[in-house]
Amino acid sequence: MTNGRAKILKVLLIEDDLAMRTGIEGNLELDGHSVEAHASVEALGPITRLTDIDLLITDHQLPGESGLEFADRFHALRPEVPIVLITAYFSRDLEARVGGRGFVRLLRKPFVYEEFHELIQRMANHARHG
Amino acid sequence: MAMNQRRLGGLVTAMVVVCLGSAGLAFYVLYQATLDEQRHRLGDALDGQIRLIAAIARFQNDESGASTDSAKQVTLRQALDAHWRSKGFGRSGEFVLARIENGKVAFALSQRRDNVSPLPLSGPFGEPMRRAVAGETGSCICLDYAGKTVLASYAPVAGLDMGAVAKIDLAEIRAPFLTAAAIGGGGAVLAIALSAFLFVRFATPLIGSLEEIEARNRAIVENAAEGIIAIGEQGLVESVNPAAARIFGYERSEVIGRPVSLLLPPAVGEQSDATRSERFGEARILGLGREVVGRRKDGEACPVEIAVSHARAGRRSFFTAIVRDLTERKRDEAEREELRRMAEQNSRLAEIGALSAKIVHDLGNPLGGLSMQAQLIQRYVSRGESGERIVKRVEQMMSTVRYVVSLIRQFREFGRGQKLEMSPIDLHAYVEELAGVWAPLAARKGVALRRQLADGLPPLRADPGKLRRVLDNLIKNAIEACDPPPGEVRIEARMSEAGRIRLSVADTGVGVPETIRLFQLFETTKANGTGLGLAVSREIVLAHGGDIEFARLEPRGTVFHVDLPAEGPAQ
Repeated sequence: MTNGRAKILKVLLIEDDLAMRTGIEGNLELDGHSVEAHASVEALGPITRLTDIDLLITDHQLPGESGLEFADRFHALRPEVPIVLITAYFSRDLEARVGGRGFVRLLRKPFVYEEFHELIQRMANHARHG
Repeated sequence: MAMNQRRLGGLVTAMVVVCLGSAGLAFYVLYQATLDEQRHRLGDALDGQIRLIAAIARFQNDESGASTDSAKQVTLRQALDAHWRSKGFGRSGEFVLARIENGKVAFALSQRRDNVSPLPLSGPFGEPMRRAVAGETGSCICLDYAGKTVLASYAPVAGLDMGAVAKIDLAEIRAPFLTAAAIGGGGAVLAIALSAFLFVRFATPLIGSLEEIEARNRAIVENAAEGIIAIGEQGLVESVNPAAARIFGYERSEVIGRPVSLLLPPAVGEQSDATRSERFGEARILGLGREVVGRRKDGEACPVEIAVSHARAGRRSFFTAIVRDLTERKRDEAEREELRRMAEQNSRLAEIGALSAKIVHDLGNPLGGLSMQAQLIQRYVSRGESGERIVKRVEQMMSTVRYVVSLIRQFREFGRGQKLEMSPIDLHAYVEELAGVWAPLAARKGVALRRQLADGLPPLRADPGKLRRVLDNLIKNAIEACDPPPGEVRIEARMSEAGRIRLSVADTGVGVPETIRLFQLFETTKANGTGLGLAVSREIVLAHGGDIEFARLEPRGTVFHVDLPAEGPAQ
């Protein structure tokens, strides 16, 4: 956290659960960010157009391409953009895979708003400074 | 083998003795008859000679003086010889005349030898003549004047003071019999020897093979893993093999001759009404694989399986009990049962573990959403907002809560097991109602919902509510599988086999991947599927005594078949 207001971010959100998607979207918008939300990677269209994204928040378990796969592809395209991967899975395998990628932060379900908010604040600072 | 040889030797000896004995007896009887006949012939010939002597004597007296004494003698001898020869008494036959002169027996005429020296009145030789001159008449087997054993007839010659003897050597009479006996006896011995040889020759391999069979059988009995007990008619143990002794913990010698009830329950025959016989007294108790509890020497109960069979050896009948020790099997069974129970418990625990993980996962998801939505509402409210935006968030929360509730219900249902409330179902009405419920969703998704029911379906005995869950699940899956539209879902009902009704739900959808284990708990192809639907459906169908299966359809689609007994599960 810094003195001034947090930077306004352009957030790309991919989450298939409707309550979660609209909940995150609404909260981020109240914080002043702008959000592009989709239910799946496939619904998002070509990623080459996503040149102005500051933060990617994606669920891991998605119909179609998984969140982690997409994160990798997105990272190759926009390596400076931080990524939050949401998952309800406690798989050691997944943990190991995420651990090897410094650009991905893991957010485990279930979480309450405060945890989410704090993480996004950190990411916003990171995005601003880094 | 040595014993058999001794037996064979005895047999041959007995045969020889019997053969020779009977042949000897036959010869003896024949010999006696011949002897009698000769005796009579000698007697007859003696009579004839004596009568001839008397006649000639009378004739010579009438012609007295006509010739000398010696001439008379010659005449008499010639007449006697001629007559005697006509009788044909072989080589040794002889007619002898003698009188007593000077206290001695003086021979007047002998055919075989001239000038026989006089014999004293007593002594072993010339016995028949001594009797004749003494006035006796008869016959005997005795020594003649030359000391030979002869068969002789003797008589006095009346009026001449003489004795006459007609005799024949006994040796001559015996000779043919001795020859015949020698030939016959030798032949018999030879024949017996040959027979014995042939017998041995042919019987030995037979005996050998019998012995081999016996040895083999003995080896089987001795080495059998099962106990084998031979039981006499009185219920006494006649023999046991080592396995039987081992099973019951006795030495073999300890049980032979003892009642079999020592080992096996006396009630073996009485417990079951299949038989009234006492112990092993009747063939009716025969049975295979009866499990009984025997008693070991140390008093321990010993579970065994017995098979009793009846056998007959000559006039004796006996029983054979084959006994298998079940102690180990029972122990193994108990162990297996324990292992199975533990495995079941473990798999139950594993299932509970999986269920817990699933609950954590599936409830975690909506909770996160709820938290976000609630936060949003709070922030809207704190900013003084009202109306549409808040209502939308609340509706979203309600919907999520409904999802959580349904999720919890499914879990509860799976964990609880299936208690069925059966009632007869009219399938036509039932399926029509079902189709009516799903028609709106199908229409929205661009799926045609059809139904096809066979005529004359009997009412199905099932739990209508539970069955409804199964069919709802299958129909919902089928409609969802038809994405993208258009598609078709068919609900069918018909008799499959005797007494069973087949309900089918077929779709023209995307099909089931090869890798998925349908019906397995938590297996799902759907992004938001719980993997509970088909697992619960299977539980319900199994509880009805039915089966659920699926098949891939050509060119595309899947069909699920639910086969249920029309009368409900067998009790």
